[in-house]
Amino acid sequence: MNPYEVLGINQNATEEQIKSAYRTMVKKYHPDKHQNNPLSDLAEEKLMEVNEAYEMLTNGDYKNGNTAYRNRSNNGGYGATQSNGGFNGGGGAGSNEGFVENPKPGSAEWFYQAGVASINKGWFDDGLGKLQAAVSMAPNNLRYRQGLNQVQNMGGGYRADAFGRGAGRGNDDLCRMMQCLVCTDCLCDCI
Amino acid sequence: MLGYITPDKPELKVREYEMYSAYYCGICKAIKRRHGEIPRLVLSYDSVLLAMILSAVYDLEKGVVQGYSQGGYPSQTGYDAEENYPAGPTVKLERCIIHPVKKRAIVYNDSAIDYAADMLVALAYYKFKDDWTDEKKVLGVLGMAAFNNLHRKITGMYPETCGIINKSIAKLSELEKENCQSMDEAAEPFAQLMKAVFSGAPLKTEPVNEAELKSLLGEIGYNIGKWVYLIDAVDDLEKDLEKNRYNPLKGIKDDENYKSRVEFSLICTLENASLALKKLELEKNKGIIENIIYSGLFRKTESIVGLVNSEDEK
Repeated sequence: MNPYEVLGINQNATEEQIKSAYRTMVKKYHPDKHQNNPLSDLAEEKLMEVNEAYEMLTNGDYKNGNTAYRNRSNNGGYGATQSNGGFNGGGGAGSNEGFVENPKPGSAEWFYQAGVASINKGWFDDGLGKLQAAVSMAPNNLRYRQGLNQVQNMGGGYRADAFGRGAGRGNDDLCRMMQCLVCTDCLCDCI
Repeated sequence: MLGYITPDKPELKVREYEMYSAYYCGICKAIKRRHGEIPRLVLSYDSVLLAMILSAVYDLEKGVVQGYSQGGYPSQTGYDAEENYPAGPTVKLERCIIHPVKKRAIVYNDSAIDYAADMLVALAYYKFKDDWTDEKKVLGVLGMAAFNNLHRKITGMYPETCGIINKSIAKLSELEKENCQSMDEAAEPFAQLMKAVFSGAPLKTEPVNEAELKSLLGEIGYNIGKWVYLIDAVDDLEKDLEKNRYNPLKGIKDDENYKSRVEFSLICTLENASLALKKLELEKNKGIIENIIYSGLFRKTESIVGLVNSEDEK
């Protein structure tokens, strides 16, 4: 897969261009748009591809000699975990468990893949432990580190939602109203 | 493992709180109607979430966006997923044994409530059975005797779900005997049990997205179940240590990262539940359900694990 092709931009695109292309693509394939629609599966697949491509390009290691990217794509059938797509879901589905077979048991790669599988089926403690093991066995592997970081940041969305509901955390309606009044007041001078 | 799934009451609107209580009372009345007076004793707040989510799902099924009129009460002209209740869910003001003076709002004619009531009674039977086989409690054997017929009846109604419940409970005590020290493995059977309870609810029509609905419900159930199991383990850890009972967290309690590990698992589990809930896009009871998932369960986690500095304790 050529990430530039996926995002529909040319090889010399600037970071700005990559970003805006990525945004339009995400909007196009967003699952909300394709609900109850026969294309939803396709859109999801596309979105995953777009995410992957964007991450490849923004990580920098694709541009810097392409080597890291080549190594990755040769890994075989592994794409999802590079993008955010690999870590969502959970809930006992365990759909990614299949790829544990390839690497040698006990190797860093094995720990990493097993960890990802655990996270995906909702076994967070188990998965986190395995990812940490993978990182400590191969501290220089960027992919492991990124995976671990991504996992460690999980729960943030829920936390934000939970805090957002708490009283008086800057989300006070009255506060907002006063702000609006002050702003409108400032505008009065312009007229 | 009861009493963990509660709303964050101070954050509820008054009408939401009344609706929540009306469901609670509705479940109690449903148990009375379907199973008799004695099983009403097992009533717990935990079942309300199931009833509310299901009720909202039945709404989705029928394509009705708002099941309740603005006042927060079901409209008389509603509908229901079951032909038995052509009038749809209704709220009546009534007295009852426990509240003989003041009339309370009670939801009637909602098959979601009936299902929640059935599951509550079925789970109570297994709880008694568990008490008896594990700890030889006399109450357990009495309860089993009292609930035996009901259990048979409910198993007949939902053979698949009850089969999974039965298997999960067996697996649970097996892991306990093995002294399993992986919190994920130990929580799995109970999570699967709740998954079965949530996804096993009979959908009355056969909507096109039935499989999706069921899998989302199952995901909510799985994660809620897992959260309940883990929070119960955290809560009971000290007591279990004292009495030398099984607890899946014994092995890691001295880990310097104990708190953050537990917190990480609990919060991620709740996040998964909330993501599935978002995908369901429920309309009815939305405020209350979200209050429970985002606020009630979060506050419980906060107070039991003692994670972040909880400055605004109620």
